Amino acid sequence: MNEDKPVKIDIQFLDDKGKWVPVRGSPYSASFSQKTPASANNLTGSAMTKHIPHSMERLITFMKETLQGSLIKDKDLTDTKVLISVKDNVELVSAENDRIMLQLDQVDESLKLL
Amino acid sequence: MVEAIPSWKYFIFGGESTDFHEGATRSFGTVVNSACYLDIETLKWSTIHPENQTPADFPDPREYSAMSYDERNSRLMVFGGWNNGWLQSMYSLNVSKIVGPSYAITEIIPSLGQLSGKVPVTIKGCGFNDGNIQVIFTVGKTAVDTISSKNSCQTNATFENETTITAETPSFEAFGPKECTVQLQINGGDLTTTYASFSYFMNTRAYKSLCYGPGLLEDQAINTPAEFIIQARNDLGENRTSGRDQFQVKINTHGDNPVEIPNEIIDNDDG
Repeated sequence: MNEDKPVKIDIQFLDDKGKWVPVRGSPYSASFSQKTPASANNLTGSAMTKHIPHSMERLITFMKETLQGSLIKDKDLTDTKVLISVKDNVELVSAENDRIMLQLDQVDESLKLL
Repeated sequence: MVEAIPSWKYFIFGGESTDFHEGATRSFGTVVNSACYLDIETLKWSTIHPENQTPADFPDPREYSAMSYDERNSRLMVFGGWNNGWLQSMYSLNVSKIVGPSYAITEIIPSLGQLSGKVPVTIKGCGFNDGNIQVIFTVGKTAVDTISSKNSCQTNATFENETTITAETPSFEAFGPKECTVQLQINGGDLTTTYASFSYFMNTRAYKSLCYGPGLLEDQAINTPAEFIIQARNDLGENRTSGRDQFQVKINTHGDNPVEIPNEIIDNDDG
């Protein structure tokens, strides 16, 4: 790649029924920049060492926020707006479950590289 | 002496048996009717215990019998001998399970495959001939004499040459991800006395597998190869530890006229 362009990365697996199916998380998005040093592309390069703590920080923030929003302790459950807020948080966790689990697995595997 | 795979066998029958102490006066022993064999490679003696036979079926004890080997039917033929008089009787003893058939298996490549089967394998050995070739996969680590549906499954194989046959592994889902032995049977003959080991593993699942690495991140360096890892996982979410799974990667630029970026997949054979 020799241009600053975003790309779509489609990763498929040939399953036991002979069918190509997308691997969890596929398609992925990535981009390239002329400002980035070549060493960043290494598996243990600067891109990964920056990405891992950043991912962990995002996961921790998400967990804190949704946990806070989902708790019913000390909340006025007779207030409809409060109830809807709790419900929204629970639904968000449920909807984001696959993405969060993938991120956790990616961080876990990435840490093994370093 | 009988040619067998992987090692020749030396058979004896009957004779006189007793304890002879070095230097002591030798006395007459007892005439016996046992049959034994020596494995020429391991130099280990074993006594033969014929199956489904009572002592009444055995020849009378004797010595000086004539013995030959019926190669076609894998039988030892014993004639006559001496026991207070010359005997005229003839007996046969099937030793096919000791000698084995004229073909043998030495290796299966690859030696592991997915639980659902259909993995192309190459089987190496000797003495193969074109005919009805069955490959038998049996749970466990030891060869078996007979095929049982309780712990075995089998598949047809294709004759390539005297030392090579090819096949597709059968599904092993009835038994689970286990180690098994692989034996051969050609034209309904005996199972090979030799075997190869094969391991079944749980199938890779795309929805459990994952990808990670700098090649999937924003702001990568241009004009430099970028790597990422595809980690195969099974139904239980466990990392696979062997390769040969098939993946394809397509990388395209966004926009109206997408450009495909070339890539290379390297199988590290570690999952």
